[in-house]
Amino acid sequence: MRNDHVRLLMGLGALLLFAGCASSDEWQTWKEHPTHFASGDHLRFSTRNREGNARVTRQDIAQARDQGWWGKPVTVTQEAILER
Amino acid sequence: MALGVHRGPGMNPSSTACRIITTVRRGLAAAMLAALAVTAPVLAAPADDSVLPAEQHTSEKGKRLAARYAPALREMSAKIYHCMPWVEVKRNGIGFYKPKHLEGDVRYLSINLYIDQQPSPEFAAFSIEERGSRMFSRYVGPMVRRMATSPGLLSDTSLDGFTVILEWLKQAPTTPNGRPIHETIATFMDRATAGDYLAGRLPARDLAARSRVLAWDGETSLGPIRLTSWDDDFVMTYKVSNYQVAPGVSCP
Repeated sequence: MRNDHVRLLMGLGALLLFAGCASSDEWQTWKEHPTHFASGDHLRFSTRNREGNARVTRQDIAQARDQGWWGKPVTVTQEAILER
Repeated sequence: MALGVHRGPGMNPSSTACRIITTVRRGLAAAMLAALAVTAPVLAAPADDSVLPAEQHTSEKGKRLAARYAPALREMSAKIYHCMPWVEVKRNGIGFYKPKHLEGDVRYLSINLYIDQQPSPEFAAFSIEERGSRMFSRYVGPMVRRMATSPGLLSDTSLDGFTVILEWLKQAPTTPNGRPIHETIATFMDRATAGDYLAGRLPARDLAARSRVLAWDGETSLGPIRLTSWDDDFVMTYKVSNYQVAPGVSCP
């Protein structure tokens, strides 16, 4: 019983210690991106390239571009420049 | 559904069931591998929608040109996809389009590209003419060279010229709900100008002056702009770090 209390106190202490190390900006970033890997594709890429030189394929680039999508851009349409 | 297992002399029901399950598992694994083998080349290829189909051109002249050169255009699109991975050909970005500012059924072989590059403070500090000149020098000459490799195209009198549209990220969103702003230049050059450039009769430094260039800031037209141009070997020399070209593809 006493051991349980000691463990609980140690756990709370560790939590406070780790919480104290992160700034509010870092916590905000973590809340917005609560996983280490941005996606399953990112995880696969990272595990595939754990050792040695990284290997980047065309699919990796296309996926990274799609997943880093910043929303619909403000840009001119092709129809404003060319006619079919 | 349970699998039916016949009991008979010398047959251990449990081991027979195991063998059947193992066989089914192997079959499923083989089917999954076969499915992956079939889909892998499709995933590695560029999107099929990069070339405007011949029937979607609105004039007979455009349709004829598109039908005649479709295989070469698809091959060019694939080469760009694999060999210039930082560049995206837009949907229906390749075709024999009519430039909107020209009169009559004038058909230019056109390519519409998005250049994936991060906006740097140095690049942002340039004027639109300076940024446009840099992008023109990097991409317009090399793209016209690629477009003109289709056998017979440059001497085809139905073809009136070439269009190269280049778009890049000017500014990333500055607020969480903001949208990225792109910058665009569209270069139009007639067939004679392209022929002179490709034959070495027109130096790269004169190519911009002999072309018409229109610019846009986001959706806002900036009208014609005057650019300077020069020889730039960026497209030939730039390599994406650790990029591995797909098997069976050779890049120049």
